[in-house]
Amino acid sequence: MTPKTDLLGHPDLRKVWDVIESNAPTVEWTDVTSQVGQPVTTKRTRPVRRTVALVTVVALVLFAGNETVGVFAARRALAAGPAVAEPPIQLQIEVIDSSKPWPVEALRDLSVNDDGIFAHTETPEAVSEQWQLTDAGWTSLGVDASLVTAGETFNGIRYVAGRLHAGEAGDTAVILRVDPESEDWETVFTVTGGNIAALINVGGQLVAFGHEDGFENLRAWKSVDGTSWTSAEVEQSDSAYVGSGTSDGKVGVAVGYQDGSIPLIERRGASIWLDDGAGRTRPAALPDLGSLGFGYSIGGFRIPDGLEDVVHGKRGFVVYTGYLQVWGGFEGLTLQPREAWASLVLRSNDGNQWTAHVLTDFAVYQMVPFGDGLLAAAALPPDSNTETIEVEGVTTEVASSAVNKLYYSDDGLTWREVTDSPGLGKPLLATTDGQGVVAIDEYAAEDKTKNTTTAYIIRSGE
Amino acid sequence: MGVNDEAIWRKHSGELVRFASVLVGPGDAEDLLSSVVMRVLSSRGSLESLDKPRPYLFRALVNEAKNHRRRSRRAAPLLTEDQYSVELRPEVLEAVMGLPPQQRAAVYLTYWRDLPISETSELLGCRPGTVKRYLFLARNRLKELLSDA
Repeated sequence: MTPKTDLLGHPDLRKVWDVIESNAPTVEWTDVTSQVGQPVTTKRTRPVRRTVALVTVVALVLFAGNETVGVFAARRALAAGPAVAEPPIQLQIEVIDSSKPWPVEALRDLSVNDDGIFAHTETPEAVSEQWQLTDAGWTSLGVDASLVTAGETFNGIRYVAGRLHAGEAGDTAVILRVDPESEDWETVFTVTGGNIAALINVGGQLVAFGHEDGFENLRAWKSVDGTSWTSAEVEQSDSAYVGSGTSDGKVGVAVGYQDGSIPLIERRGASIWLDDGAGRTRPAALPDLGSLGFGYSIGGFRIPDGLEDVVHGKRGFVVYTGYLQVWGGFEGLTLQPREAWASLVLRSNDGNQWTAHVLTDFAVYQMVPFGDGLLAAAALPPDSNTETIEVEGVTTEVASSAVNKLYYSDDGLTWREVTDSPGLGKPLLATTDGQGVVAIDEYAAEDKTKNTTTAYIIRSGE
Repeated sequence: MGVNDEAIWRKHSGELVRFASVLVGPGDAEDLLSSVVMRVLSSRGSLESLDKPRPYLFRALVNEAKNHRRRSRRAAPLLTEDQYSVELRPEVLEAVMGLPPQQRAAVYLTYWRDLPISETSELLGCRPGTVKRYLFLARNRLKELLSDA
């Protein structure tokens, strides 16, 4: 086949896919069905802690003599003082809907505002649809062609950034706003072929962080009235990617990733940009993540290699990673990638001075402001949900899919499990004024084939 | 098995086996795909019982590929020398195959199969932002090597 886009336009990479596809075997239906009944079985077992212990020991042996030891040493040492140190917290959890009007796993985004609870879905055919949760369940608000990527209220008007899928012409980033008179959505800014990842209300301006060319060329655009937009420079924007941003009104924080000056040799990794309305700069003091034991290098790759999201709560900014992943060597060599089931949290009151902390009990999937603190949907380590798989008479314990639960924190550092937390197969969270939260299940943790979708209202208080 | 299972198989097996080859190599692709289908038949009784067979089977292949890597005492080369021409530099192949399965899958689906990110995220069972992250990481891991060519 002849793809219309290809990675870096390099012929070698096209050859790789071509060679693999040309060597792909032909598998007939009878080849598969003839194996039914042979011993490939799966059954759940009780958690087996020794699996991870063994992995840790093996990893220490494999990686001894280089910085990677620090990853596991740090994780082992920190594991003695778990981040979940306080008793569970009881929140009000109310199931408000268990319907699934959209295709399996089409749910892309949730939002909550004074007008209600909204969901955004997108099908494999790139048809997106907006829904509102009413007494009758999820009600379609219509089909459009955009995927919402960010939103912000500025001067009392709601703005939304999105992506229009334009077929072979590529995607176009747009910023829409609600017209105060007609109450219709109107397009106020477009970036052909671009992407807008964050809309921030800061310093009397509305600032958009994004990329001019797909996910390359990090840029910012700013507007003082929401309709006229100008391009703005971003400090150290080369080889950088921004995925999220937020603001406290005075300072905006955008987070993402950035390569070092020598790709594959030096990765600067996690990156933060500040916006005070006048410029978009780097923080004066970003912690040395290497001091946490997570700044190791094998073959030039460092972790954490990026920051997932940033939220602003009553105790300042909290930036977090999802899973910390430990890279190994190339396939075929001894070192293999292994997952470190932990998250990194950076905290700051002003956006300039940051402290870094490691959460060792779970990996944060999504975090939102909630009341006076933060609520997180987080994945437990895989060893808490192992499977025993028997293949050709050999029994092997492998990590199964993670179980997600809700956790609450006052400060982003110490977390309390939410009592009776829903089994969040693939959760999305949204808040309004830090009080009401909606979480959505896309499938039950114990049986992903169910593909149920459940909405919850979660409120603080016993 | 359902009466429509074979039709579902015929419709999707071509792209599924190519995708499996990308994940674990052509040599193990049949085993990977067979084990996934067998699990579905064991647990659900049929392929037609799946609400959306295509994304379900793609995601199942990715998950099974992770287990495949974990089970492998020592990973064998994904392609043997007789499976690719001398025109393909081994170090490029090694770099691509050295990408974690999710990154490799995201690059393959987005840049070679030419799927929109929304569909790639659907097939990989992750959020579009996660696909973008996979692509960003993969591109930068490959950039230096490819720029030398």
